[in-house]
Amino acid sequence: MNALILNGETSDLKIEQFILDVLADALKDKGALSQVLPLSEMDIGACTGCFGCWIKTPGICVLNDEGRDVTRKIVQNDLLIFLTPVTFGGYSSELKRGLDRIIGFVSPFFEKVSGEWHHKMRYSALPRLVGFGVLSDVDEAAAEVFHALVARNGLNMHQTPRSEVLVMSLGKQKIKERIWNTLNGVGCEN
Amino acid sequence: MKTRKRVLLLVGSPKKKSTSLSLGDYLVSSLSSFGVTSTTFRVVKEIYNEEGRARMVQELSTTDILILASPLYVDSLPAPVIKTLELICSQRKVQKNAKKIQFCSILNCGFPESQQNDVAFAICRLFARDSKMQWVGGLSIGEGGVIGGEPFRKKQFMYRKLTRALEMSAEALSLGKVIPYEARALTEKTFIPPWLYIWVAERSWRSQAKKNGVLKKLADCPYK
Repeated sequence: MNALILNGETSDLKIEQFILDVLADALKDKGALSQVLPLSEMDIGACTGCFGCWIKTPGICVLNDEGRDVTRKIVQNDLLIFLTPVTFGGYSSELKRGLDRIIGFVSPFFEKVSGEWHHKMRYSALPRLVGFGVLSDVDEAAAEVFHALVARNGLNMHQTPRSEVLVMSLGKQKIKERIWNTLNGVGCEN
Repeated sequence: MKTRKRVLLLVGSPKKKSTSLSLGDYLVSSLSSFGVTSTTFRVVKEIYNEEGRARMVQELSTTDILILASPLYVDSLPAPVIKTLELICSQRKVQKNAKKIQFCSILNCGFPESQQNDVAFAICRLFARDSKMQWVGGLSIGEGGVIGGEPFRKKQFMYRKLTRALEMSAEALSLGKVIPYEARALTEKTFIPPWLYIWVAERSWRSQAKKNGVLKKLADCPYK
């Protein structure tokens, strides 16, 4: 199994190395090869909203920068992990910068999913989605929004994703347990 | 003499002509009839350079009402909008006596269901909380592609509920009040039946793809 971690840390809000280490260990333990994309260090321009990834170069963003790599790697992996500081309940601007460029991985055409209109899948198989949000302290309101956002992203990928909020003030042991439990929940058992 | 209220409009769309800009412009135009002055900040154009960021911070220091008009990108706000909100929040968090600012959003998505904007609205509410601003609500619009950057006077009948909602919002904001539920309820109705919207949208994609010579490539899977 191949896992892709999109690291959405920002210059102001870094993800502590021990979280990345725990993730790497947990994935390795479960037989997964993992790769981390440090989005803040990548050359990813802002989406221009042109829909060229649908109607000019179907499936490929018209902007020729590392934003294309994000989509390509997502499609080519089995497990997709969002790792981000929880920002007003959502993703950081860095994670979002990468994600804004991936709509080429869906079709421009629509179908109903759970009673709502969503885009059809371009690919027959997409990775399972897991979202890890990091908070410095407990914030129930932000956590609730984070889980809702990952759920909506999952709906657009026609799946039920897993999400977990890692609260730094609860200590490293708790965080490690939550990471392992979440990954177990997506069928990453030994 | 009563000081005029000042509005800062953040437009989240990268496009020159956009639904977000049409909506934001109509709202600030309605606010001007109540004596409110405004400045517009095109987020994508300005947030990634130092001068743009400095200009925005300067404008914010004299703003009474902050309005975000934005499209929905991947179920939440576009990255440049989030970056703008991150900057604003980091500034205001450290201010001991941060200026009283009211914050509202007008969000639009390309799906028929306006409730697909709900998570993005929740993000806006938490931004207001974290930035010590007063959240005064917003308007949620589906079928954003119907507007597509057109000025509303062109199809007045189709947009009558939307323009009424924007005018009600302007009146409330000018009086320092929250956007009324009645205004939000008006925008939650679709402009055209969802099946028709979907049909027109899909026809448009095919037409544009044909023009670009890629009609037969629409279902391509380049990465597998």
